Order: sequence, then C-alpha cells, then structure tokens
Amino acid sequence: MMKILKEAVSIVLLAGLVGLAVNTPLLLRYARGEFRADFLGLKDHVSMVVIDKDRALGLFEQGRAIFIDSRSPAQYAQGHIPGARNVPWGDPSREELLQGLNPDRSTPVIVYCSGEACRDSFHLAQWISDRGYFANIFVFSGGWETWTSAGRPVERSDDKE
Amino acid sequence: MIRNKYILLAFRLIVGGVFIWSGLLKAVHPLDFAQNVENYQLLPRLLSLVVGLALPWVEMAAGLLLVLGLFRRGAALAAAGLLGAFIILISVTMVRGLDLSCGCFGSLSGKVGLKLLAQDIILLVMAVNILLCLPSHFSLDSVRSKSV
Repeated sequence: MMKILKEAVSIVLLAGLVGLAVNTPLLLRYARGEFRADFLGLKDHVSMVVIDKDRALGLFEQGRAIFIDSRSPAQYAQGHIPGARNVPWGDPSREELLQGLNPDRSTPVIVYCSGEACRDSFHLAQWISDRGYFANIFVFSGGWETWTSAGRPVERSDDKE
Repeated sequence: MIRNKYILLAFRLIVGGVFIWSGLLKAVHPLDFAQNVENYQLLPRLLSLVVGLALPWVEMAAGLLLVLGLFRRGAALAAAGLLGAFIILISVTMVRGLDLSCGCFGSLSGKVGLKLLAQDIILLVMAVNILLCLPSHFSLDSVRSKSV
C-alpha cells in the first residue's frame, strides 16, 4: 500500500510542478501585481461598472435602465427584479434574446445574477460589452441575494399573467 | 467488487477519459479555472491561482496513466483522492447555498448540484474498484511486470 501511496503522491507532485512550470508567465504576472481584483480582468473592464444595491435601486427608480437577469429560467421564474429580462449566461440563444431588447445603445443596462459568489453577471456583461450592443453597462455584483435581503421589490413570472 | 477484466478496462477508460478531457479543457484556459477555484471562496487568491494552474495537469496525468494502465493503482488512488475532494467541495458548496458554475469542464461546466455530486460518486466507485483490483489486464503495468 505504501508503494501505491508513493506512486500517487509522485504523480500529483510531478504533474502539478509541470503545470506550474508551463504557466510560469502567469505566476510572474501575479508576482508583478496583476490579477489582484479578478483573474479574468472582468472587474477592470473599461466599459463595465460594478455597482452596489443603492446605485442599482437608484437606476431602477429612474425607470430608464434595463435589468438583465443572467440566472437560469427556473430561478428567474421564482422571482426577479421587476421588469428584468432573462438572458441566462449559459443559453446558446442569448444573442437573439439580447437583440430583442431596447436597441437604444445609450440605455443603461444592469446585469445581475444570484449574488457575490456568482460570476455569470460579469461574463454576460463582458460579452454584451464586447458586442457593442450597449454603451452603459453595469454589473450589480450583490445580485438577487442582496436585492431581496434589502427588501427591494420583486416580481414573479406568474405575476405578469 | 467487480473483477471482470473487460469491465475493469471500461472503468479505466471512463475515469481516465473523463480526467483527460476535464484537465485539457481547464489547462487551455488556466485563468478561467483559477477564477472558478476562487469563486468557491475557500482559498486565498494566490492558492486559487496555484491550484488553478496545477490541478488540470494532475488530472491529465492521472487520466493518461489510467488509460495506459501505467502505475495503474497509483493513478487510481490519485484520481480517487481528487474525486473524494471534489465530492466534499460540492457538498460544502451546496450546504452553503452558493450558486456556482463547478468549473469541472471549462466553459462546458454545469452548476454545482446533485447531478454533479452523483457523477463524481460514480467515478469514485470506479476509481476505488480499479485501485483494489490486483490483476492488471490490457495495461502497460502487465507488460512491465512480464519484462522484469
């Protein structure tokens, strides 16, 4: 059994070291101070602003902004920010869903997902930004969790019917 | 425990194949995977990066050795250890109520949930079966032992 354990440990250590050696440039970039906010640079994206719940509520009350819910359709159906449109990050038809929104580029767009732990809102916001659909893109990083725990208004899919 | 040599070969190819595929998808986008690791909110940033860069290569190595049948039991133990860790991680994440992409298959990853937990448990059962079975048919280990 000791022999098998030694083999397993050797495999893990050797392969792990190879992985680190191959990725040395990334480790050096980290040592130089990169990736401090986010490994993917999503939080540093120039056309994307991360906002808190108060700013999100402010934009909501102005009534001009489009809220985009990047969670799954099932989660969206259970409850979402009133008026939010569902564009799940994992949905292959998200391009069509997005084109169905207001085509005015200057309309503020606020993307959110479940909460601080999820990254779908960042991915979707970057994807929208890269395609140039909207000029004012915000990520509400606290997302659904923060919105509901702060007692903000919510809407369910069956409320509309 | 299953001892049929054809089923054992299938177990090796399934577990090995999944590990190679999963490692490869992560290794081509190492920063994406490092971000996935950090999203679990269990490791500090530097450790998330180290795990994100190293783990895909460990998976690929263990998977390749399982498919080839070289250091078969060591590779099965490494795979079983990783799967055990993944199962604990998925369970803890579900208990904490975090809504996360698992990061297991790069951009093809699904959400952390019961389906993923079941997949990992099945793979763990296969890996443990490979680990506990002594005869090694259709493997480079058997060629090695004959030539010694």
